Amino acid sequence: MWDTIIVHPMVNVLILIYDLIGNNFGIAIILFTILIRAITWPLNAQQMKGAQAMQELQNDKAWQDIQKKYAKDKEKLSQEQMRIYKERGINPFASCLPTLIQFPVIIGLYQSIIRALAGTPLSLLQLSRSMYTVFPFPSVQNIIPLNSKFLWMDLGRPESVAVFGYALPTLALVVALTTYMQAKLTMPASTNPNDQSAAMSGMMSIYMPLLLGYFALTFASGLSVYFITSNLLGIAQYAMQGKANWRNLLPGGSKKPVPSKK
Amino acid sequence: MKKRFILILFVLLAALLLSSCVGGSAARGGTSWPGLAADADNVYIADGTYVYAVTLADGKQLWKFPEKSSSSFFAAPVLTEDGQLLVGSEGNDHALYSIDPKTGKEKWPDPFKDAKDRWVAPPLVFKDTIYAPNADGNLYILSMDGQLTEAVELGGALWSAPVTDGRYIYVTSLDHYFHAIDIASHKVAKEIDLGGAIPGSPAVGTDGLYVGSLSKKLEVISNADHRVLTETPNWIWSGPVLDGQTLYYADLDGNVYSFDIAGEKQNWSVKLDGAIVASPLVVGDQIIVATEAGTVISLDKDGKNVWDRAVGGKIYSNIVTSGELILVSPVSADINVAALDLNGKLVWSFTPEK
Repeated sequence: MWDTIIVHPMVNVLILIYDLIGNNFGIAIILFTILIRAITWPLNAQQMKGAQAMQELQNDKAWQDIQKKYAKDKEKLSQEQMRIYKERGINPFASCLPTLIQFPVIIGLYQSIIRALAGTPLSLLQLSRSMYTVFPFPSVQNIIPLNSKFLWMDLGRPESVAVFGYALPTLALVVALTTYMQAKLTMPASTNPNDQSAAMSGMMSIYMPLLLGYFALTFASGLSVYFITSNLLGIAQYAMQGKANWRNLLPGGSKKPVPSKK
Repeated sequence: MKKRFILILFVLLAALLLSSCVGGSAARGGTSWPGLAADADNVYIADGTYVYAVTLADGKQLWKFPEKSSSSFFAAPVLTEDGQLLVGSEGNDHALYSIDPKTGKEKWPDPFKDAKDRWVAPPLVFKDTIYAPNADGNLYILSMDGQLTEAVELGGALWSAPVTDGRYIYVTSLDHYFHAIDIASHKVAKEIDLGGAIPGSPAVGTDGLYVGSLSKKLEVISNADHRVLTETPNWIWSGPVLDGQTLYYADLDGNVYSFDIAGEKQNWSVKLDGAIVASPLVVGDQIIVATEAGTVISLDKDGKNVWDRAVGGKIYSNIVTSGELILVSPVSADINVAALDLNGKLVWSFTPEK
């Protein structure tokens, strides 16, 4: 089921792109990431909208009043919060959806990269069962083995660069840095010390770079290419919509609100 | 606070899924590709992250190598006449080990670590020289004590065991090329594009070499030319096997073929219960075939079923024989080795000691 819905389509699209652009798997991953971002663009836009609505709500007087009024009655507080969500047309989970979508994509993409590059006998065998045999998908026996080299990387293996005799995981560092930047840039400024949403965003801006950096360190570097491209596209999307909070990259900058473009 | 907890839990779950379900490196059991070798007393299994020696008499574990697992083995081990067991690993250091088959201890002071990629192909030992093809596209030529003599760059990933006719070493590549390397000069004497990746070894005949490939073609390569003998509906993964004037080979659709090389015509084909990855093995009057469905099947030389035995899991490993035993190593099964007698009866099975 998972293979049929997620992995097989991803493998076939990746290999189709690879074939169309002249057998460069790194570029194929970058173009594939752009395609994924384009498909999930409405979801990301919804996330931004949801996050901003939640942010504005934290500073809303009615919201703050119910927090104080029902501080000792959690059930009533929850009912009042739901009422306000309903009145304002806010879905409190809207901002989580793109994150939820992200993980199946990451897992599926990782499996697709490993399978498409067919670096092991089992993955080559699995690839033979994954490929579509209809136009415009290329004939797999003609196209394999795929060229796994991109710049200095072998996309089927974790990346590192030898510096003074030490293996420096440059891609893992870039993944962590761009993930941190994206998280910081998209974090709305908050002046409310009790703002749970801001606290959670702040926490995610620490955990996510560490987690994705660990993935980049451990897994095939093709996945890192996806992470970096996805992060840069995410930053570009926020910037294009005027939502990027560049001040957050400066020390103490997160306290200053950024004027949002309506 | 509850929302924060759920989010952290979700992230950790995703991390766990990514690292366990999909196999971060090939060191996971899910990507295991076992290989076997046997002498008169023991069978040697490279499976997962260990090489095991198991006694043929009763299926007991003699030793395992290394003591502490580090990386997987995809290549079948190879026994040499001077008492070595050679096996290459998949791990980051791409080590080719020489192990003492009696004790499981390393024989070379250090493993050979010059290769840049994993070992999938077993090496060939011919006249006190080791010919070891690596997935980095090089054929490494080593002395019997593991010292590099020369690396011959062939290109592509080399996954199949080399074969020789005494004058040339023949190596096939996933980059679609068949290579002939002159033993005397170590120069590449011939390269032929067969139009598809070649994960199996050629069969050496008196009039030429017989090679199957993922182009779904069985070809004969002679000094003068190369040509297609026949085509199959699916990939020919493993190398064909020559028995007199008859060639036996199989495809991933589960078909086994008998081909008369003198008359250049197919004698028969039979379809079995699963894809066939391992080369058929001729044992006396029987042709032993193992399928991905986990069945070991014996056919007579007319293609009639003599017996079949379900051992479970999926069988990709090479099939070996020693004395009266036929040995296979299934994956995704409760057992790591099944030893069958020549009537298909299970004599013993082996599961590693914890």
